[in-house]
Amino acid sequence: MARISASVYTSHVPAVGAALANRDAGRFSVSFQPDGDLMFSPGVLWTAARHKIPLLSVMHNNRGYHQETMHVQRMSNRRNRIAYLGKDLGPFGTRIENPDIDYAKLASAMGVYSAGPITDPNELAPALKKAVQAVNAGEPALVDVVTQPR
Amino acid sequence: MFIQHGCWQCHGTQGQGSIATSGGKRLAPNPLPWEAFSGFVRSTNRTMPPYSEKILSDGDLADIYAYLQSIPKPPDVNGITLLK
Repeated sequence: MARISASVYTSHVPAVGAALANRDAGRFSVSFQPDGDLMFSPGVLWTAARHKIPLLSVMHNNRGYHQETMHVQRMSNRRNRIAYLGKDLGPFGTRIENPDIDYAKLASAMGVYSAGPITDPNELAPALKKAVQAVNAGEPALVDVVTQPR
Repeated sequence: MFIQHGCWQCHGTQGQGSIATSGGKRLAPNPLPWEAFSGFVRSTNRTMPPYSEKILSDGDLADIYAYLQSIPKPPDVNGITLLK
């Protein structure tokens, strides 16, 4: 099994490319997919479905561009300023919530097998097992898991 | 207060820690003694940014500390089926 690292804006797009190579080499591909990262190029889900690229994407859905959230907090503190403005879109515009994106529906709309959003840990193992079955059958799958920030 | 002031971003919503907190150190349960806790929050010059009284009042800091003291001990990891 090949594991593809997660990062910012460089996760799902190269993951699909790597999964394509792994498919031909007979390797199972897994991507730990950040939610904000996917929003830069969600159309790559359709590409994976269109070309039947087997890739298990386990979404690290912490509902935000969290790296940016932490950076804004850090810089605000160092400048002795309050970071949280207390408004509905807060704290600082780097949260992806209200409304919460349903990534399972997003993936399903593009022809990708999906499950979630999972908020109960007891639901995680069964969902992953079904997703693995889908990937072993030759198609991409996405499991939306709501997580802690880090 | 713990959420409003951004503590959860690195320490987790239950103070359970993450890779950002000195390799996963927990804030709770059993937080540091108040003097050490408050002194660190006010004056740290490490990865964690300091919180001055201007942006985090003494009252709010005390509320955060009370919250951390209230967090129960987590379950034994050996009892979590999902991890086996």
